[in-house]
Amino acid sequence: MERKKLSAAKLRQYLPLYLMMLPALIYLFINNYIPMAGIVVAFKKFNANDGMFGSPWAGLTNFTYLFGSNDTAIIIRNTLLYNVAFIIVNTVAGIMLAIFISDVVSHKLKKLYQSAVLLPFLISIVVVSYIVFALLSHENGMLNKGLFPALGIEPVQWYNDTTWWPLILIVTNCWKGVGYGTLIYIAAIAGIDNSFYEAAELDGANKWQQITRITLPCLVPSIITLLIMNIGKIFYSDFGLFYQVPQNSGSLFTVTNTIDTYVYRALVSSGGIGRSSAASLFQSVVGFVLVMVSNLIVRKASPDNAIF
Amino acid sequence: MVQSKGRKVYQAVINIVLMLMTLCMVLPLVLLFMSSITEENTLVANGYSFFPAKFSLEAYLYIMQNANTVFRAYGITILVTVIGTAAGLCLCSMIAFPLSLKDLPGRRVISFYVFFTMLFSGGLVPSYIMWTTMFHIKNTLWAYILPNFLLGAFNIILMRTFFTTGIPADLYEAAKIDGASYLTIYKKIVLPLGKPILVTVGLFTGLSYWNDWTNGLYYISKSEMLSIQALLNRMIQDIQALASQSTADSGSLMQIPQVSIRMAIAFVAILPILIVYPFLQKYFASGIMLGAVKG
Amino acid sequence: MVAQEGPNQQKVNEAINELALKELNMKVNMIPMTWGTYNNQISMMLAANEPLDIFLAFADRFSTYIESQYVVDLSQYTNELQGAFEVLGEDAECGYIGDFLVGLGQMKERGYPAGLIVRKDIFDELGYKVEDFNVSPDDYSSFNQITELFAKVKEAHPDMICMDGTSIMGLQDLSYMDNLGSDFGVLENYGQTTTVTNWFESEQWKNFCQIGREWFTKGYLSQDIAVNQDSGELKMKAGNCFSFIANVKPNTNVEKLAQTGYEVEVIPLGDAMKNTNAVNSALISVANASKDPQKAAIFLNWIYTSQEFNDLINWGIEGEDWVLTEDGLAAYPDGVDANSVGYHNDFGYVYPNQFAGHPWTGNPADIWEQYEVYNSGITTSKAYGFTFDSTPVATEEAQLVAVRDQYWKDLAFGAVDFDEKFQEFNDALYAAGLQTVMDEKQRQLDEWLAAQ
Repeated sequence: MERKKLSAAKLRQYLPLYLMMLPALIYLFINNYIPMAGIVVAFKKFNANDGMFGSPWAGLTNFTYLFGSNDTAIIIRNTLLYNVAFIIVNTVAGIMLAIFISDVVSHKLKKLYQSAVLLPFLISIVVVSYIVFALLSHENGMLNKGLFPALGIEPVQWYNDTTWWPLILIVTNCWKGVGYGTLIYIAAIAGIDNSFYEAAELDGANKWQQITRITLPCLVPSIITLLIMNIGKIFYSDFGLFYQVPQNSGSLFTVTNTIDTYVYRALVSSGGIGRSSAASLFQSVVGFVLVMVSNLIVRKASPDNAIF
Repeated sequence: MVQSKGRKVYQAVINIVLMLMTLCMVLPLVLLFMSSITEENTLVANGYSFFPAKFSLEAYLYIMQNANTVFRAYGITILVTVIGTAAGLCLCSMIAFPLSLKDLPGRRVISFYVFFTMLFSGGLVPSYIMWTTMFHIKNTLWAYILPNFLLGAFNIILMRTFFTTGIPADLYEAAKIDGASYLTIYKKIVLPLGKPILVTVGLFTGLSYWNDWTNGLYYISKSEMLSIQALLNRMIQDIQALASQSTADSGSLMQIPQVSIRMAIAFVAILPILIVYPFLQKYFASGIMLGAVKG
Repeated sequence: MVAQEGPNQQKVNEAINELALKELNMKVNMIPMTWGTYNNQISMMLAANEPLDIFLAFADRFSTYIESQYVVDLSQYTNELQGAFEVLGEDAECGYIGDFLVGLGQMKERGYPAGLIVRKDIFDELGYKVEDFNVSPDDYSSFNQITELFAKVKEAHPDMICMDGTSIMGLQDLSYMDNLGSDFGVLENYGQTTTVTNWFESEQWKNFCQIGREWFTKGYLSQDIAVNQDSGELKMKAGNCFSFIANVKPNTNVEKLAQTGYEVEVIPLGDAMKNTNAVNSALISVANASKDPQKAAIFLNWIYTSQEFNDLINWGIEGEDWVLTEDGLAAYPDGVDANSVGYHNDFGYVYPNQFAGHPWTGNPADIWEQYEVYNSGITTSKAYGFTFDSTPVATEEAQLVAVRDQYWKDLAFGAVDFDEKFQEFNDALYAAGLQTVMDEKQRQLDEWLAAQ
């Protein structure tokens, strides 16, 4: 509607901008929107003869297994709580590291820190699970066989004991993922106008004041952007983190079972693309609703920071 | 005096914190490397250790048996990463810049169009059918470049946020008064001033290309077309199958170091990045410098 | 399907084409896929309806394959498949789900009895002989013989882990009862009953768990046994593991020597049983995407009967990749070994009929006869030939798998307190719909029995 009101002159002025966007829009259309037609399969009793669109409708039967379990409540609770914890911990740690790294005077050290923070990002989650196992193994683990006897602490049956797993998973996730946010915040800090700091220093502001009055407010748009995007993924979980890192140990299911691991276990025995599609549609819809709500709130509070 | 003393304390504190962080990040990698050169039986019997009792390079020798394949796979990955990252950055910045202009008509609709792709996906099977039947990318280099990684909503929005907040709008106004077109503004203002985010997004895109083995798994069936991650992933899987099925006389199959090779493979996969990464750092530093001189 | 791609893959394909052209007047294109990527790639190809004639279908996916119409019902082509039926005998029945013939099984061992694989050097050193052992679930106290053996090993070699690996009696769901395709609702006592019961509640399973608990608490098992997923073979190879439990068959000694590097002895832990599962764990099927299923069926028939085909696909080109030795075995030619060979699969148990081909050197020359004697001598489950169609209870089965995975490893290995978790496990199973699945199984079984 907006577009119709535009004068021809204005349109000509913006035309180059639309043309610039075109390739990306086309790519997204092909890579993302065309396959989205396949979502229909979540409501179908799929068979290869009739294909995705010709198969008979199945109503909501593909969804029932998601809610049939007695553990549904636990699984949803786990997924949500872990994601909330991950978002908080990774955001705080990421901002802190980014501020620190940006403030390091020595260029050499700065490079070292910047490289180090991203290292775990390079290691696949399966290998991470071996490293965690190296620490926690009951038979040969560094904690049970090395550190604990030295400190006189009783060995812990890590893989049978749910107590520590929320912490272990949060730490592992932070260790592996914090570099991502840190780099984004470093870039954002690099974009802050330096004259702000110079002015502040002339006024005698100390470091803490500079951080709270200048750096953090300037980071707010990036923080909000990342936050909203993470909220969209709040019903998803990193399968490897929750399946491979705890070695799929049954005793830990109450604290490690999330929607993705549940779906995986359920579909191993009775697959079918209808059911797996139903699961991801469910995750998407929840994420979508939450994102719409949070974006609305942000738009009310500070319109400039809303994503759309 | 007070100022500079406070500054010194501050520097000391952050350096200690960051050093500890660096240790946390690096030590597991060291463990990974040490395990990869631990003798196989020691590793299985005694577990992973920083100071293994017996060393062996067997895992690397096994990988290097197929040195040609490994190096070709490296080549494919490097090519794909370079092309994919360059093209991805172009596309990403070309859409992020217009979206960062607050007065662009239709900005919100287009932003939503972009963001929506992050929330909903059709799943693997529809993508696979589309790419193989409509675009015939199976067993071509395109199979690595096109599906999934070229451009993502996450990076577009990240970049847009940076352009909105990191580049003062009055720069654009001034340029427009000077008669600059949007294309000129994009080339002369946005790209140079956006360097920190370009490097960051470029790094993310590059790493996702480098780390990816799924496209190789689904779209490549010719072994000479495998990327390094797809090749290594396949190697791990096949070793497990080989070791558990040999029925007789396959004495040499038994010699495959099954556990240490997982570590060696992980190390082989990231080694080139460890080598290249310090060079990329230069751009980070320059990005930060630019941020400093801009005002 | 291949184990590892070799440079001679193309040559083998050409040789098979030449053979098929001569004997059947058709040509085939083989698509080599390695074990590690097979499941991912094949499910994608099937869903996309890509051209594919013959492929290997795994038991846990039959329902999905039929429901999604990925496979052709071979019962329409029984005329074309006469030769294969002759080879398979009554075992061909196991490919049916209801009236739907999903595919054909391979020629291999038909039972998976549990056995304890022990290192011969230590076993001999302690003065034991396999004949001294007579372990069977008919008398659970007979497992004390193993407990004593472990105690002796521990005493003589304190650093040795008596047993490791990924299996123990309570996890041997193919050995002691007919699990009717899933572990939920089984025919106990080697399938010598027609009443479907819950194995996880049975006296047998209780006893197995308690034995596991005893071994675990006495320190005979690795502390990590319920967690670590490395195989027993790998553990034994590393040198500080005395034994592990595996499914055994006629040439287990030869195989385990190849896999562990140690001479081993095998102590049987029960009898062998033949059930449907033993045949149909993987079936060779015709894909729905096949342009000419009839021709595909003719080819399928041929690969069960042709000696040359089975040698080609398993060992490669004769003269280049293998030669025939004097005693009728296949072996590497001079100057060729496992690393330099152009094609070598050793994948007999997924290929149609290894019995038609030559056994590899190291095996006794009459190994296939040994197999046949072994196969004909084992107890047959009363439900042999029956395959449970899990489609009506797919949702319940999915839940049950999750519940089973949560508890059974820890209980079977004795890593957790038995009294505490046993009841919890069974309550969770019933809460997840075990009774519904058991009733459905009983109903289908009764129907099938009545039709026999």
